[in-house]
Amino acid sequence: MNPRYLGKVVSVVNATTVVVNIGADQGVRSGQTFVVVGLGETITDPDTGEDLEQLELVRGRVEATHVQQKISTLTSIDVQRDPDIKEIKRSASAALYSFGPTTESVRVGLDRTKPLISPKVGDYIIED
Amino acid sequence: MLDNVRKAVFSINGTALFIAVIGVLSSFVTIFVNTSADVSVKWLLLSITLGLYAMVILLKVAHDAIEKGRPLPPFENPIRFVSEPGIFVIRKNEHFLSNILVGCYSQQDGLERLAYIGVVDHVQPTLIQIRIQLDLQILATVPVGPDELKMLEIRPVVPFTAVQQLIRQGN
Repeated sequence: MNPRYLGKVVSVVNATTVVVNIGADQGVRSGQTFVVVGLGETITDPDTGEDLEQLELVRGRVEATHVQQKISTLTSIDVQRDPDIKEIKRSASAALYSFGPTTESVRVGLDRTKPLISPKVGDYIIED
Repeated sequence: MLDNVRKAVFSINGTALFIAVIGVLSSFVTIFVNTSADVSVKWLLLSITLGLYAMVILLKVAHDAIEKGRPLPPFENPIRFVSEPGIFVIRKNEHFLSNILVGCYSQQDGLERLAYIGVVDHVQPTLIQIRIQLDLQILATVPVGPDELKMLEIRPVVPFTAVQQLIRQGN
């Protein structure tokens, strides 16, 4: 295997968690971060016709959350934020006569763990 | 510099050059020089050999140094557009560092316009992936064909107004 690839995904637990075939024996530590990639098409240089390399399709950044001897559980650490929601509340008089109390509030969007993009068994992990 | 000279001398190329110099010199000697003359020809030959050898080696070192010192251009033309994640693929270039903003400039009829703002998303050993972050609607469709891609130039330079637009759009 190409030394760039440290290990392979052996199980997809859910959209944010995968298990890989390297663990404490290979020097993985809890909290260590990696990038999960799948291999795509081979890119050819249009000028020279030379095959450059296979495109790495980034599934997401992950962190080792549980490390065993030969396997590790990795969880996504990318974050996506829900959009902020602005709410404007008008009293009945404000709605009818254009005056009266009006309140505006902004509900800040929540930060959520971003799911990995289509992780598959056989995907590779590389150093972050 | 001395290290470069040492590497050039003690290498297969250096040996080949040495043999070539001896060959050229012996052919000249055979044609032009009377080796039975009173002058100590063997010392003359030795000094000429060493002189020519040193000159060729130094020329090679100078050539290699020029090649090595030549900087990469501060731009790249994309070699592929991959629609599924929406990325341009460019050749590896030291000017494109991971996670920086880049500008994709469209060049048509001598006019250059910023068409996309991108981010260096992933750096591979020989390739770099640029994810499109903001489409400025300059081009009707994203360039895909080799000729269209050559009209696009990606530079690690983004105008401030474009960055403001990016912020306004919440990307």
